[in-house]
Amino acid sequence: MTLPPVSQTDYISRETRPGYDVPPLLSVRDLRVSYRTASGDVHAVDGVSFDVRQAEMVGLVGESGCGKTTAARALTGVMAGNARVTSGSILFTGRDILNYGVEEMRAVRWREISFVPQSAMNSLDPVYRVEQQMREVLRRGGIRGRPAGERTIELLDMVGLGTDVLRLFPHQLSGGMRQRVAIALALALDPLLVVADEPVTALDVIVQREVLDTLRDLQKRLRLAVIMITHDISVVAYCCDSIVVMYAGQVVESGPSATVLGAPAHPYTMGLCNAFPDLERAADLLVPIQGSPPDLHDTPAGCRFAPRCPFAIDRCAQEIPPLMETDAGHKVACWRDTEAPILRARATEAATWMR
Amino acid sequence: MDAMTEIAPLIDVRGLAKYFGRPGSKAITRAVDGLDFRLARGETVGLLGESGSGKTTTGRLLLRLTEPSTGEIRFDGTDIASFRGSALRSFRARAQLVFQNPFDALDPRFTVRQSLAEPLRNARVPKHQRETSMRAALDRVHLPGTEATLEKYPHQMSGGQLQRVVLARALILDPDFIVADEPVSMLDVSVRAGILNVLREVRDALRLTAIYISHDVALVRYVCARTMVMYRGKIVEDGPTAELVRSPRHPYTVALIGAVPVPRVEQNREPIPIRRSQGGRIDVTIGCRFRDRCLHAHDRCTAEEPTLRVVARDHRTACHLDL
Repeated sequence: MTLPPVSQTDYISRETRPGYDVPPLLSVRDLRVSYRTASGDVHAVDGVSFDVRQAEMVGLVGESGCGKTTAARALTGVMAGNARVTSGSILFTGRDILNYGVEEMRAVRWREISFVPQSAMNSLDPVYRVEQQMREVLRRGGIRGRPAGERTIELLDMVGLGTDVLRLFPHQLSGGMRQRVAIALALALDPLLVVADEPVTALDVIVQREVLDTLRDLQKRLRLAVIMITHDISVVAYCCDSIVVMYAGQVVESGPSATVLGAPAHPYTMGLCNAFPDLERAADLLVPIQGSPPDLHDTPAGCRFAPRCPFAIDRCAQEIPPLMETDAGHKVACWRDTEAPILRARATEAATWMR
Repeated sequence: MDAMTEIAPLIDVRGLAKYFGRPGSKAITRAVDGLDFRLARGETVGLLGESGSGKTTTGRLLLRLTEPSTGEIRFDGTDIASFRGSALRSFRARAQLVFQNPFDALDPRFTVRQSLAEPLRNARVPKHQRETSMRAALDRVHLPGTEATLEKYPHQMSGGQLQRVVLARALILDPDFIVADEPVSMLDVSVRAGILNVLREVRDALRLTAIYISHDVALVRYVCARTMVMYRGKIVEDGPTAELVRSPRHPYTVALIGAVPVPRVEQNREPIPIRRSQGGRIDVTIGCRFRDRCLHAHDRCTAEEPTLRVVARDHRTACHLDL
């Protein structure tokens, strides 16, 4: 496969092996984003930190309103009009992109960081054929004429589509085909990082699996970094190397997928795993987490999960637990993290969660 | 299933079809294309299928929210198309729909009391009995049957609470039959489990016949003892859920079950046994409608349409192969 020349800093080499000795491609530190609303400021993202390494697929997981989409939007520099970053940094290949102006950010978008939306119907322009949309993105990277045509065919082939889709309009494509086109567009200018917001949520199970397989295969072949935003821990378990779990605007746990899902250390992650049906296991009773996430206008003083946590102690209601590294790469924000093995055992019992 | 229910099913569907588009034109959509099945009293059945498979249309037909092109649906022995006036009103009370999206299903200007009172009023339940019914209905879905709950507006409640109100409203007239279309797809995981548990309790406590329409295999397995799988307007497999999930017989069901990810890192990542849909339509009036995606299709599958045949006790599949 031939890739078009794209300007890249020496900071990143496609030959570098991913590992903890290389600085991360993306380093988000203490990011805070608020929305101004009629009823006051909502701190949707409140001190979020995580890293993404080259050639790593990271699942950013949480329930609706946890801030995962807001955090991801800040990475691409496309935010709602009433949203603003109040503090923190987003180091991408060593540069803080939060300091970038509109023009600088435009140069980064598509070329270095690209975006795959939840519903490609919203990102594809309904009045343009697929071919025109491909050419438009390639033009931003200075690819025109015959090279653009060749690159288009190559991209479609990468995502498993034939050239017959080129003359079609978005509404003539199935949901799965639209997501494939959206992935092709995101890869057009050979970016380093792809942010995919619930890329398979709206799809049927079989199509979902096919699109995930395509995305994972390309991610490995092209040594891409991918942030996959999802509410579905099964999707993360299926294809992500690591996972960042968010709750009420904060990261509560992060680390390699096998560690976090196999031996969760934060009670919220434990509860989430209990509440998730597992087709390969017995149809045991699913255990819900009582209550609902806090109102982000008025968050609890201590740990935000404390009001719903069956293991909360006095300290949890008073002080916010910091995100601390417990094992290599495994970070947890819980005052009782050292007791995790005991809590994990208790968390598997339904009675623990029924109060 | 005992002998009595075998004899008198609550729902008896024969040759049911719904076509959209001008009759006789080439461009008609065969949304539902010939269904035959029976639901015993108290049976909870999952209707699985991808978008466009006809499952939602089937649910609407069962509740007479849309008229069939051909075929009939017998409810307690009577063709539902024949209901008029008070018989229709009685059917509307006995057969209820549970809406998919709790955020849309309730009128934002109505309190919980007003939302729950509406079906009672329509069914001409005397005023003095309504309050008791409302509190009992809330109790059934584990919402406090208090004045505070009854006076709440939708915007003051969480998604999980709203879905409970929606369910309480569907159950308030003690129906015999409910159709739940994707009842938890809009809810977050941590609250979803709570609703699924309520659905299980309802299944066990009331002698309710229910159809759960979903694309979610895990949900159907959790709540339904029996599962029917639809593909392009037809039922391709129908059997006990546990057996169907453990050893699916139709190649489409095999692919569907195989494609469901599980929340553990160790899992099957083999390519699923199905050809990718090319988006085009095949002629479904001859042969098997799954043949273009099936890895096992042979000459007979193009020439002859497979009909549902018994492969095990209470288990039927529409496939020429013996998988």
